[in-house]
Amino acid sequence: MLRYLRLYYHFFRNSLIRLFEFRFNVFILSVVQIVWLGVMLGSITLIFGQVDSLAGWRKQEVLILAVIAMLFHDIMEMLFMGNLQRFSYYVRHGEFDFILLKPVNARFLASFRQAEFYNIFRMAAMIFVLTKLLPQANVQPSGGQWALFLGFFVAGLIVFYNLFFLVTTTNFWLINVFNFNDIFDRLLSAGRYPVDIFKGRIKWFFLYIIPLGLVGTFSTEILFGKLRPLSLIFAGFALVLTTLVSEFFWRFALKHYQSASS
Amino acid sequence: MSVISVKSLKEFYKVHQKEPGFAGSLKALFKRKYYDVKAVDDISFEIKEGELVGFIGPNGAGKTTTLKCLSGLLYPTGGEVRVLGFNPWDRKTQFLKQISLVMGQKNQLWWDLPAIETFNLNKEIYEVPDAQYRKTLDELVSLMEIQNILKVQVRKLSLGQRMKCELIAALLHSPKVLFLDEPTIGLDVVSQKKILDFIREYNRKYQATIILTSHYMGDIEQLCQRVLIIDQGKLCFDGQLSDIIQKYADHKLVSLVLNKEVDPRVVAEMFPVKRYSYPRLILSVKRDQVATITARALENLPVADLSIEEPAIEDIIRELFTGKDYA
Amino acid sequence: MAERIKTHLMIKKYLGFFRNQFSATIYYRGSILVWIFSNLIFLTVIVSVWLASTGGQDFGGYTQKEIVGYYLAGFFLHWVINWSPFYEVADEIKSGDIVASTLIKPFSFYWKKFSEEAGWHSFAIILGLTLTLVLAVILQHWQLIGFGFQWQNLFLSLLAVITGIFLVFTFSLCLGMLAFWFTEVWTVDTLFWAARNFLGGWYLPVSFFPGALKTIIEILPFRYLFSFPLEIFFNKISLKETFLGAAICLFWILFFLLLYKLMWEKGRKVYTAFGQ
Repeated sequence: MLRYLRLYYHFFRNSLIRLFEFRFNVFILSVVQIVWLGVMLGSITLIFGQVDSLAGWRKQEVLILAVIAMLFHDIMEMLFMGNLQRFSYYVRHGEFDFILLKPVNARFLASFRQAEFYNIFRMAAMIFVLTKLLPQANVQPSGGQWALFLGFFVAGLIVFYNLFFLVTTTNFWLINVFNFNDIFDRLLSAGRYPVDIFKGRIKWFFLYIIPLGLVGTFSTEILFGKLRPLSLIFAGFALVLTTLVSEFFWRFALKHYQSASS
Repeated sequence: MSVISVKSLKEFYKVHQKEPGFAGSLKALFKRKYYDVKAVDDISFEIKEGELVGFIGPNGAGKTTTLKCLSGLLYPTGGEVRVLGFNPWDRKTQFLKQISLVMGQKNQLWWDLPAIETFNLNKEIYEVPDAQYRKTLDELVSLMEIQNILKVQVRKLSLGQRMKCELIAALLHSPKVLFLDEPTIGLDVVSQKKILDFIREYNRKYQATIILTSHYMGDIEQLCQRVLIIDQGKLCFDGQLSDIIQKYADHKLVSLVLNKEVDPRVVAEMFPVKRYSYPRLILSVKRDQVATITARALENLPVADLSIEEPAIEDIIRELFTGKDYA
Repeated sequence: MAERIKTHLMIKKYLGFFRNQFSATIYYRGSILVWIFSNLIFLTVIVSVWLASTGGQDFGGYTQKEIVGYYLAGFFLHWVINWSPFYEVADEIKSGDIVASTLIKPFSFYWKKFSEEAGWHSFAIILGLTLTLVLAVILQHWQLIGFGFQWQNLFLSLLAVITGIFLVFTFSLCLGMLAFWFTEVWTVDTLFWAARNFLGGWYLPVSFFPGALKTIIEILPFRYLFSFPLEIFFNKISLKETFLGAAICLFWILFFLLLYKLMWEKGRKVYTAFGQ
């Protein structure tokens, strides 16, 4: 365990060095990213010029949710998405072997090898925006609420990492599918809206099959003092289930890869 | 005590056969026909510590597949493999820390960072103690002569420099067994030689067991005493390189330099010509006829110089695999 | 975001493939399915958002049913109107291919790129139209969509689409040619799309912009890249306003055409000066 923490520290450090290599690029990209943040917030504000509520959520609440969900998305991008895309590429082009040859857990290596820091300024900007939005909406969460918020947020990160890893693992069989990350992007963007906008079977799908609620809705609600019934149990359940299924499927995929190669 | 022990190794896999054309594609959507590919079909051999062995054979013969079985990447369909006492398939950490596989043109270095960063990372991954790491790194760097490119980003290096760094990255943890799959492919002549010298030196100095596959007979000739010839998944030959000549070459090459043009047709009528481009004439002569043919040549042709040589290993191998695309 | 653009380009490349080799498509059927699925998610979310919105009498002049229609039509329009050769142009300039393919040959770079875009778009139109009509029928069945359709609106909006195509194309072409002078031009493209999405009617109809902002939007070119044909189709602007808009759109096309000519002349000189 300690060994993996140390390894991760080195991966992180190497990624940070890469950041300095490309600092000019990162700067420009950050400016662009912040423009997108502005566009998103501007759009919501303008929409609420004509709209009163979105599935019962008011303007301030929707804004806060959007920022938290975008922060979620950016953290996923930073920690995993680049690695998953690369992993997909390695599997599809048969360059996966070098990961298997290392005396380190292959899933760990494939998932965490490189962290992407190009969103780091936008993330800082979003935290800043939140410090302004929260008091404006009269939201002053207690320490306990923050802890619960963090719990849901982190659980969401792990659940979605597991789901995306599971899907990417299918590349061992589906060699021609190169655009899984596109779906991941769409899903995480969809999480910026309160999960209550969906009705009927679609709502069921986005609550239980692809748990969009864990992207932002559940954690944000905690800050407003609302705890959705069963959400805690659901989060815990999703956490355990996705971890087990993704790990199981991964081992199965590896065995398949290693007995029918080329 | 063998370091590598392979008994009746079999590696089969199913490939689905698609009929060509549009109808074939449509059919493939519904029903697929599979057939067995016997990549490795009952191969056995033993390798002792410190040996430098070459694998040769036509493309697709099963060389890379065998290497992958030895390094634990592939699960054998049948047979038994033991490397350093381990079953490679188990992928035990202890096992992985003692082996290394380098595949030409496939790299594991971080693209945007200087090679030294990948080296340091490998140190962490293989848990190499600080003192040993520094010593090994220094030795390898001076052997390869790359002190001045250590801090240069990998993407800015030439192919030859990158290959050197790849090799170093693969050797930092002082593996006891090293698998090299086409390590010099795509490199220029100078880099090729440097790499080969390095491998030879490494084998001599550290007594590492090395298996090398290569497209270029020159690599094998320079480095390996012992070769294994694999064809269509079967082991055709396992022994000394020099024995191949004995066993498979029933002729020698008589190489002549002429100092006057001679009509090629006349020459062809009298002698077993292998190649004639004035002033060089090369005859392919059966061993027992060398003396007679040589005498006849000296008598009838304007010979300026003459030498008798063994045929190139390359040619022997090529003849062994007539009509195939060999490697 | 950059990933999304890359995927968009790869889809573009491979859909172009589609027209010629059906078998090849079977090979990429997985990716195409993924693409369809991801667009379905997107549409479902957009439609759900608007259906879950409650408030005043209407949404910027659109009833709820109209606005669902707006997004559906917008989705289709998005694939029809985005004749953007940005990446191909930038790549051609960066790699030096442009020398062999265009700088030496006597035909216009403009029309060459235009016809390349036409190639893949004519196909994407069919695919997009099918998807959109299927969805329209479904939504109609659920009575989620409804607006007043008029033939003259269709005709005028088609004209607006055609001029829109030229504007998108010329504008992007100019942006792509920045590659003559700068190396990392892709950020410009991202900003272009950010502006188009925000000020051009993709995230929200431009009628949501209040007062003075609305006037600015009518003057800026972004509205004509997307929103204008939709506004006409959904009968949200008068005939007078339509003609005014058309005039502004034509102005911008001329502007970017001149800019293109200027950049081409200057760009060629820079290029050959460095002997790429």
